Amino acid sequence: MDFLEIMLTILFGIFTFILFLIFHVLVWRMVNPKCKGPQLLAILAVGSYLLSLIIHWLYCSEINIRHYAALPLFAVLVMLYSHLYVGVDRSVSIRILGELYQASQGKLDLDQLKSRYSGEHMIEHRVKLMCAEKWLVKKDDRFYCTNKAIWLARITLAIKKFYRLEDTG
Amino acid sequence: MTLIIIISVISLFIPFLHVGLSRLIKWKSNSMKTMLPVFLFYFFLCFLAAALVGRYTAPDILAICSLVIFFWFGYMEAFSMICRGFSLHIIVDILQNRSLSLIEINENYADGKGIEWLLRKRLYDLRDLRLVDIDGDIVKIRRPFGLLIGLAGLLMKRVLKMGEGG
Repeated sequence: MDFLEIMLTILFGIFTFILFLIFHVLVWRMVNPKCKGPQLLAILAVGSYLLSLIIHWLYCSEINIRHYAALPLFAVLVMLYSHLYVGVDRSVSIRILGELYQASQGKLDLDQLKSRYSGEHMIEHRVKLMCAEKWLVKKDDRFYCTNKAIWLARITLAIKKFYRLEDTG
Repeated sequence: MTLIIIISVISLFIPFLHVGLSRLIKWKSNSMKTMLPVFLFYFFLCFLAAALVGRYTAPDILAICSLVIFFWFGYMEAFSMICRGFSLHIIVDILQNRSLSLIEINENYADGKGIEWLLRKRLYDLRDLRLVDIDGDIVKIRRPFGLLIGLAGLLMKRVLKMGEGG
């Protein structure tokens, strides 16, 4: 009985995750790029779990699902997927691998790599994003931290001191 | 619900376990060698706590494993941002200099190391992970994993209509 219960709980968690992925792909192909981000992913995750609960209640309510186990399982799958998503979206390393993949024979010299993905472009793209998300504000071609960025930066410096981290970046 | 609360409370102590253990064994806190014993100790504490409250059915074990992985990866993501976060380092650089222009951000990135340093560091990290080979100025993607990750990233961006990334 325990084995059947655990298998059904795992299946429920996986089914909900598949539902989340389907919604994610459909929504991402339709919405404005400005709306895409971890917040929308979180909304889709919550919506997927609620929909799964409704489907379970309507069609197979006699099956006992241990939601205190299914929900954490679903949360782990969403969390792992979110790491992947943010990595693909923001990671410098993954972008470099993508450029190398597209290059002839999978190789580039440093100048060629910089022409496809320059440091200046890296910074400009990221700074634009941070201005849009209100971490930075631009005045007279100079960038300043907003209040929330100041707090985040101070917390970061304190954490680096706590962990004795050097040479980060 | 009790299980979730207990594991959540233990998870608050992950940073202290991490720092404490790394100082005890005298390894750098951002080294992978330190992460594994910290994770195993955290995992053990969670299971011990669950056993002490008498929760050890199969669904309980599934819940504990899921919660442990959830909190651990959440912590790893936050820690990774502190160590390598591109945006975070830009914010810190700007705070330390009050304001910066784009050119100054390039030159001052990560305490004055500059953006060239970042690119080289990322390339060396990829080489250490055996995803690329570096021969002088030539960078070549390695089979199979470098190629697979590069392709997976491009496919995902195409399917989800994301930008170029990075």
